[in-house]
Amino acid sequence: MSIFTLVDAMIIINGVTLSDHGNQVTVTDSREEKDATAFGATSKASLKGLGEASIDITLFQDFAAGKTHATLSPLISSATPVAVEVRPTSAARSATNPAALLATAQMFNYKFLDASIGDVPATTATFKNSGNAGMTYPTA
Amino acid sequence: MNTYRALSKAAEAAFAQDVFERDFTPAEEKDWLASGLLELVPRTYRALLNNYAAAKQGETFEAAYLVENEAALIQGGHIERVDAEPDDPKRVSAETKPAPKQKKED
Repeated sequence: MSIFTLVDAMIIINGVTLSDHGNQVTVTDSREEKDATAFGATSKASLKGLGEASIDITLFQDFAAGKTHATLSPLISSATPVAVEVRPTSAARSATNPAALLATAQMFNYKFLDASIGDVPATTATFKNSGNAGMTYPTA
Repeated sequence: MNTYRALSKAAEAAFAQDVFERDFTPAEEKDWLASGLLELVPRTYRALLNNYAAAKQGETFEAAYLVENEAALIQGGHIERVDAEPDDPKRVSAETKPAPKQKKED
């Protein structure tokens, strides 16, 4: 895969494919930056701290069975992690279409409605890592 | 209500031999599974919609879900349980397990 336009991203939340309701994804894999600069130093020294991983997904709201609300609303009250996966395209995982996978993710915010008059209501769900695995990028 | 298998004599004494059903809270289930004394037993489900990864719409599949994950999928209308035949000898409810006989006091 070369440089591409994102038109066919795959979004799977708790095993449920919601790609046809999504229009924006942000996958973030970060490490805390810790200052380890000691007396006598001439440059700042930074060390990596704890990791943090999250996936933000914007989905058009849909109250039909199995769609956006039905999939997301149970997860806000649940404390059991679920798997969340995003792929650049809907093709199978491969070296050129790797997944971003939060194997143990929890959803911390759910906006039932977030729109103004005339808008198409969409909701942004934020999933954060809740285990030690962090973000992985499986290709198979 | 989920289905579990006792993996030790202690777990068998506390629950039942082999496979049993119990209504654990999510926290209880997490603790028991983490202890290694119990394991989840897969059961049969049917995919109700065409956007669930484990099976095509209308097809059945075996899966072992944690109680909250199962509830989320059933509540969302994605799957439904396909209950085992009532005469399945492997399915023993812990509640229906015969209580040990008590000694009569004189």
